[in-house]
Amino acid sequence: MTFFEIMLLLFLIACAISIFFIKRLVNAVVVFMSYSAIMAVLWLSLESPDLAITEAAVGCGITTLLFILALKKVNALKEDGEADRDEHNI
Amino acid sequence: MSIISEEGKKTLTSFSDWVSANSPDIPAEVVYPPKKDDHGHGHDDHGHDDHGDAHCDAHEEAHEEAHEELRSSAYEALHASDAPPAAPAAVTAQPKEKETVTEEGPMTERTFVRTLGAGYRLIAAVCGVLLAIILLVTVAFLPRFGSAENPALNEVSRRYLEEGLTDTGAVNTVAGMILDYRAFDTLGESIVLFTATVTVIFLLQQSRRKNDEARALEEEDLQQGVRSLPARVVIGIAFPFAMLYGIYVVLNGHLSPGGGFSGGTILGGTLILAHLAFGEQYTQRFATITRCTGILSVALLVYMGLKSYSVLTGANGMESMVPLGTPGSIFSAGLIFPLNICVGLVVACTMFTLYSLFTKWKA
Amino acid sequence: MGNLFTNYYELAAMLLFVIGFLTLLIQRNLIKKIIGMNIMDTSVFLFLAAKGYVAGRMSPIIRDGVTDASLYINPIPAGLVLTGIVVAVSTTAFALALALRWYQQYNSLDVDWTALKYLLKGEK
Repeated sequence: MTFFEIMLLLFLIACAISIFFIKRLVNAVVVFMSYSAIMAVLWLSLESPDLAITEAAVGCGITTLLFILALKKVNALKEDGEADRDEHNI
Repeated sequence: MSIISEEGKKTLTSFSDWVSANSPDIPAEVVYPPKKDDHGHGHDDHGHDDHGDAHCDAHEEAHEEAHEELRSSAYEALHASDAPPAAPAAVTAQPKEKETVTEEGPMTERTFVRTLGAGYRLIAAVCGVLLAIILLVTVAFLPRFGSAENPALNEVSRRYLEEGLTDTGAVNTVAGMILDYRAFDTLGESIVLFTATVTVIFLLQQSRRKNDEARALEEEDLQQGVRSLPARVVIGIAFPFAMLYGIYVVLNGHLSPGGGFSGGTILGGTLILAHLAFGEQYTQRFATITRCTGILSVALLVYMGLKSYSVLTGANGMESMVPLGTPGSIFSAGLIFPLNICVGLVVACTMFTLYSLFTKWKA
Repeated sequence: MGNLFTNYYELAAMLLFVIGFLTLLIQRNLIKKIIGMNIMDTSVFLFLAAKGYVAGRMSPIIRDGVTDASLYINPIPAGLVLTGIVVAVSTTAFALALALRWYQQYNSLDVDWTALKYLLKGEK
């Protein structure tokens, strides 16, 4: 069980570091979504099931949707040919 | 949005040619309205030296008012990309020149900003490493993870666990804690949600005309939902069950894991799912922004009304008002049951209102 | 070194906090900054919940009326984090609304570029 938890924690750190380096914003948001899902599993292993329910609904659902809606509003979701719309040319 | 636009450069050359050809005839205010020129100073001076003194005066006036004009000029530059490229008239060509000037500006400013940015990042990285070292040293001196000698396990948590069932009647100690012992704290959190909703409404509200434009332009998916039939069928089947699960989590907050916060997020997420699948035409039958903010306010007021009893009795809890019932049955735990419903409504309406505001907004 | 590696939850929470802090400081894009703020949020929640955990005990839901404090974990961090998660969503929505208004004003989410293009030019 300890090994499992350490793997999940390492995955969390890897997700956070990759969010720092990912250029395309949609990918960063999706990685953040998987970060939240792993966090929900960790709440369960910390014997806090109510936190797991909340984090699963909030992190994977509502926060991600708000981020993706905001990206849609700033036209970061389109793949137009002239330039890849990453963090530096939005 | 690409910064360098070839058309802008072309327009600039043609525009400056046109200006130098026509400058004796045209008064300076027309060619260079001071209001629109505050960005361009310092670069076009070499190009337009032959304009004379009136030009320079216009420049200086513009610089004194630069701060006031910043907003309007930014607005113009924002619309510059929408303007048609050609048309060598002074008014339409001016924003184009502005964009190009940003590109070909003097290198001192650009290098200054770059150096400042690099230095800032270096300092930030050093601060981050220092912070990491301090935090990790602190972690090394914390009590062992999972040990029962943790000083956080003091008499407060012991009291909550041992007396909580008789004090509050809630089987779920967390619900008993946040809605009975610390209900004022939860009231503050609900007010934070309310404030966030109001602030986002204030930030993202738009005129009705712009709203209708946005509606007419696109957002067909948001109006009518996704077109994919399997997604609609699956969400149509799952929607009532997810709703039921959210209501179950809210109502069973004092008996099982969950409560107003968890169930409220599930309810809000389910409403958002219905909005995604079937569009606004479907969800506006039962959930609009106006209705949601109304429910939010009423739930907050009911919460305050229920909790103000404990102020009147000297903040001694509310055990004398409602019988606690037998622990484990659904109508037990005194006021925790209605308070859970209030918190669930507040959270669900907040989530759905935030989502709807974000869908309706248009830049 | 003390308990540095036995406290692996706290260790990971601190590392996540620093990564989120650096994302918030260094990244130039506002959306990235907001994601960094969210990572800091969750790392603090992870730290709190890890401090409340006791090995071998159950979640704080009274089973069969047995109110023995040595059977259950600490309920206080769970209560604090439960409200904190929901408040984090509302602050995220507020920050995103501010970012959208920034985009409406400056047509860019890159803070440095906006400063270069508008603020310095306007001041000169």
